Amino acid sequence: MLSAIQVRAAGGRRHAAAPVGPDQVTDPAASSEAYFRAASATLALRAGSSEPDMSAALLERLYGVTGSVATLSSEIERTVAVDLPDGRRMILKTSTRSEAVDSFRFQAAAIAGLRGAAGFVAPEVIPTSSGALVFEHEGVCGYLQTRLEGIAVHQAQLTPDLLFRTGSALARLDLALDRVSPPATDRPILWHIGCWPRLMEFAQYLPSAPVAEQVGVAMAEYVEFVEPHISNVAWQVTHNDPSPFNMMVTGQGMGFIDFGDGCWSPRIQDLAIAASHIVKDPTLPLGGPNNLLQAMPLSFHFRRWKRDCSWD
Amino acid sequence: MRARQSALILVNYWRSHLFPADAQYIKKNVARAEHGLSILTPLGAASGEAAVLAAMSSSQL
Repeated sequence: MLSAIQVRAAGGRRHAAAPVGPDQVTDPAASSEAYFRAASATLALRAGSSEPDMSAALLERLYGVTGSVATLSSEIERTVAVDLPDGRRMILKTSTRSEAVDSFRFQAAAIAGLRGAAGFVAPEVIPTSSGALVFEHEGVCGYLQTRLEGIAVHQAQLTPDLLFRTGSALARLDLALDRVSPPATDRPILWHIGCWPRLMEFAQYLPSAPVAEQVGVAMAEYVEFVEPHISNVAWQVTHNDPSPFNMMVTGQGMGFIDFGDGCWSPRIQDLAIAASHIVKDPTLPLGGPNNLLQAMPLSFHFRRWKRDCSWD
Repeated sequence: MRARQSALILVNYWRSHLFPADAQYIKKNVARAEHGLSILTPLGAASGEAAVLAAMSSSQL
């Protein structure tokens, strides 16, 4: 039996929440007002990229390596590309924000838990010299991972074969994530499905019709027709952001990066998110993602699916 | 899929309002989501569900 856990709220207070883990079907705490406010507050803060970059010093001090560093675009944490003299290429993620500790603990543990899994490619976490997956050092937390080589899906031609391979790899990623138990799966994430009904309070920032109207209709229909049934599908740790920027075509197969929005979600979430990004052509069924959807058996998403099942 | 497209649109317009200097990066997926939502909206909930079920029921695995 899992012990009770708590959700970190915006002002540093903690609110009691239901346990989240293998015996948990949904995550009711993520539908709460407190969770939504905490998650909103996290994304309402400016990224810390304007702070002095300590990446090179941290790499030398905590990992015993030196190399060139280049800052990459990132919304929340600082992300730098690291090139080591021996040719290895890494990604170092750091932050001075307290809530980043939980996010990095989740990301590093989830990625580490995928090591050895078949059917997709993921980065590997590089432990510090003392063996830690995540470091906290003089007000900075972070972790180091290998860098996947390849092109992002948004740069690739979306052939039927590529879409099918993407869906198949995503299915195998979710199978693998179902077997990991990273910490902080309950940390506030605004992209959590439990927050969706409350997102309409941001409708005031939308451009005028037709976007605002289409968003309003979609969210109203979600609340009426979909949300009442989400406890009927399987829930697990998911990537929760398989966008064309976070899915890679590599020489070793389809790869996935950026697990920062990962959380406890319906298993079907990753497929739905990936498919939602591939709706491009009004002449095709559903606008184009059919080959992606065909890569996952429908039964995979229901609670009766057995964890040791495979369709290989 | 429509709800997730809508969530992306809502959150990123809000964050672009908060951080206008970073709007281009924040909204990197928004145009795609808006276009996708405009394609799926005419389907409605029932016909959209039927299309998704048809695709997944024809799984090649």
